[in-house]
Amino acid sequence: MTVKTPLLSINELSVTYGSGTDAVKAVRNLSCDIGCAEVVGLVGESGSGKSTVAQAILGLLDSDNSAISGRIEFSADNVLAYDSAQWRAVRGSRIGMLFQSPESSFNPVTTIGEQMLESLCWHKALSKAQAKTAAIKALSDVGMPRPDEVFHHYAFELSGGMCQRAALALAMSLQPSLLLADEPTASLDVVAQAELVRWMGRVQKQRQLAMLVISHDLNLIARLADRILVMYQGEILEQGPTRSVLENPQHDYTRALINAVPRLTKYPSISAGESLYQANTEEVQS
Amino acid sequence: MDALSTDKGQVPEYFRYHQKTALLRTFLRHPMTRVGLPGLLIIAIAAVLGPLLVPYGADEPDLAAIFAVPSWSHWLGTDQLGRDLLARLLEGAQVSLSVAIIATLFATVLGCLYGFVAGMGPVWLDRIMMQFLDTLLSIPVLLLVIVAQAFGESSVLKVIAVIGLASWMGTARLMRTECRRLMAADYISAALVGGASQFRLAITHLLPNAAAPLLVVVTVGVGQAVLIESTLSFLNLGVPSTLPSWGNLLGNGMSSLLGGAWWMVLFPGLMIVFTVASINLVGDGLRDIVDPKRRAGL
Amino acid sequence: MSTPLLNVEAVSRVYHSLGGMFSGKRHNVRAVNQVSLSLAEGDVVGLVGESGSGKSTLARMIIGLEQPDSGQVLLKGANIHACRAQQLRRMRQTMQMVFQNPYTALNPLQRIDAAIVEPLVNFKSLSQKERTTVAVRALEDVGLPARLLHAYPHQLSGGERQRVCIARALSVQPKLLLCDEAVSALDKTVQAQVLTLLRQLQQRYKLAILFISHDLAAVNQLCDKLLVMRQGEIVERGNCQTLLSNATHPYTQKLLAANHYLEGVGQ
Repeated sequence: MTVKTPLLSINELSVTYGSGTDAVKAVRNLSCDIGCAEVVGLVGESGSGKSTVAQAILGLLDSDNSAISGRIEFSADNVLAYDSAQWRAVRGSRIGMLFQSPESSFNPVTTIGEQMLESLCWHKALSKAQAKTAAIKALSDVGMPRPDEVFHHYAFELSGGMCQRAALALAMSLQPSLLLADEPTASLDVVAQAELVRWMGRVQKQRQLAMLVISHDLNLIARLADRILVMYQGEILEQGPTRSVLENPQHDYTRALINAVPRLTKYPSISAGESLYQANTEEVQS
Repeated sequence: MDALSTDKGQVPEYFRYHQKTALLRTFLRHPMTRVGLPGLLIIAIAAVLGPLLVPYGADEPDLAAIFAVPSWSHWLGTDQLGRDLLARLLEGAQVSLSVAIIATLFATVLGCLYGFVAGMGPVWLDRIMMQFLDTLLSIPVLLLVIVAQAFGESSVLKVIAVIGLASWMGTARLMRTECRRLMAADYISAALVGGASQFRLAITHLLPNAAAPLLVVVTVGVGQAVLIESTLSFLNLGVPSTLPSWGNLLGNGMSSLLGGAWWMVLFPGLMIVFTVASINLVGDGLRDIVDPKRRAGL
Repeated sequence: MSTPLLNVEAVSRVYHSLGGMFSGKRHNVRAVNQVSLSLAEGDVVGLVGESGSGKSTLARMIIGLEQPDSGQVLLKGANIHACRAQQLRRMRQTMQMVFQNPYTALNPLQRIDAAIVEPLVNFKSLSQKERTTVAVRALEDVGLPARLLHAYPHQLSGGERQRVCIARALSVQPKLLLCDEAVSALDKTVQAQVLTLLRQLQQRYKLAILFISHDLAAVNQLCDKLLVMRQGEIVERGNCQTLLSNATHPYTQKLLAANHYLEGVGQ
């Protein structure tokens, strides 16, 4: 897929925490473009700097504690130069967010509906009735059974999987053009993971949404992403279309990453990886 | 598989800073601490070394200098027997502070024990013990103390016991809440599964993890104890009037105030205010670094 | 037939909860309902189910952290809920547990060496030197360098912490190890390493393992037998391989489908 004007363009991004001898480069010279309706997966172990990338894109890095260099452009606008008012206008409404812990997306003392209404009225200047229709539509768009009932519930009354889907609905109700998902499935069980991933894929296709999915879970990334970036200790080791990275990994680390993941089944068409995977299971069982 | 053996190096270096040093630094840089800690140090040094430096003894009457106004020879003046007020205040610092500190330690031990039993025991026991505590807390401390002091001879030990018995409830409540909170942690379950006894659980797991808020309560408690001691002695219900505690000095000064001896009230009063304020400032500083919600950016 | 190592007989646990905040309707949740299972020495059994299926409650009852409402848990034939606290403590040498979250399962103020030998010290008095020897060997066992002996938990990664938790559980040389979602909080790659480690240790020490997880892939890598739990009941049980290729209960099929979906099979 050729990308004409990237929606999000990251150029030579570096993030350093601390200063002097304590300085740690969490992200080094990261460049990547995300086109409209493109899904990019950023995969790496914890500590590889992938969450720092998300924070940098959302302008959530503590400027006292970290130094950023490089450029991040969203719709050809340099977001690193934004002030807090500009951030408030972009965050949520144009860049949606989905985090690891579903409860953290919701205020525990207000219902899911109230919260959706609040953000819709604030960002979209809708009337209350219009906002309610939009909110319930957003809930049913992510496959929520009985959306008008869920509307009146508190986040803690839902199961983790349901809650994360409500968080997806909350993010999508503002119709962002980019969704940033940082380990969205990490706290869910497998059944809930599968459901969430299915609905994320569906919403993405429907809305022609661009997504940046950040995870340690290669399965999740493989399922959703058009393109994969493999990150290790702050650097991008390898990037390319999902299929070619999985079937023909260029880097040893990527290969190890693919082979080490516990799976019920092998990747169906990885011929090179297959023997390695089998060797791995034999080693385990011997 | 080399790249994957980094399981060991996963946590980025910036997480591995020395937490303890960082906390200590924040504590020492805290504005409250910056005022309170030097104040506390001055009082402590004065209490220990002061009596050695002042040329008068605390119980040395000088009938030639009764009710002397503050001057170069008697910096803070003298009392009705011509005893030097500065010498008596410094001597009194030893009495007042040691009474306060020992009483607070007593209250802490008592409160911790009560808190442990309530916090680790079965729910019904916890309910009964907390109900009892609430009942105790509804009785005004001063009333309790005055009634207790009205019986029998006054002695330092008795004052310590009474102050301790009047102020352990806060510690007990804190310890019980901390225990209930910590008992839900996985490492407590792990310790139980590992066969830890209740005593071991309390000493190696609960106490260290509750130490931070406990330290705050103990610090502020010392300040409170200084106040209670002063109040009691002022009312002649405290340490024997022969000992120059700050409350005794203040009470003694009050009876001479009509005679115009303002210094006998002013200086003991200032001393108490200065001490309690210093302790509370240090306590506030501790509270700020202990409470993670206020510790943003660390 | 000799008595199995662990025998769980018709164990049930009901939680009482208030319906809604204001509705006042009480309803009882059967977290675990008439569950029976048994493990022989050296058995590696997986227990799978969604979150909320009662797996963790069952684990906590087996290990003696919670009381069942009915039924009994027999460890080497002795009912662990009917014996005195002192006896239960002694029985803990036979049965140990690894918890889900490696970030909360270690006392943040306790150094690694102290954490590892703690269960052992509860049963034996050891000199400082003996403690260090034991701790070093335990660290070696779980593939960690001896330099971590004096580290604090916050200085370790999630995978390292979980290894320490395993070392702590194994320090008393138990016969049975309960793993409650022991790898779920870890990165996928680290999960694989910890699973491999568990398998190695299982073979070295002839451990019986009850491995609780929502992830069939992880269970498949470690376990020989499989129990599937749903809403407090065990709905299917059998050999791991056969069950995964030939699941009969719709719920097992649903779990399998979720795994397959995530792994991109059958698009």
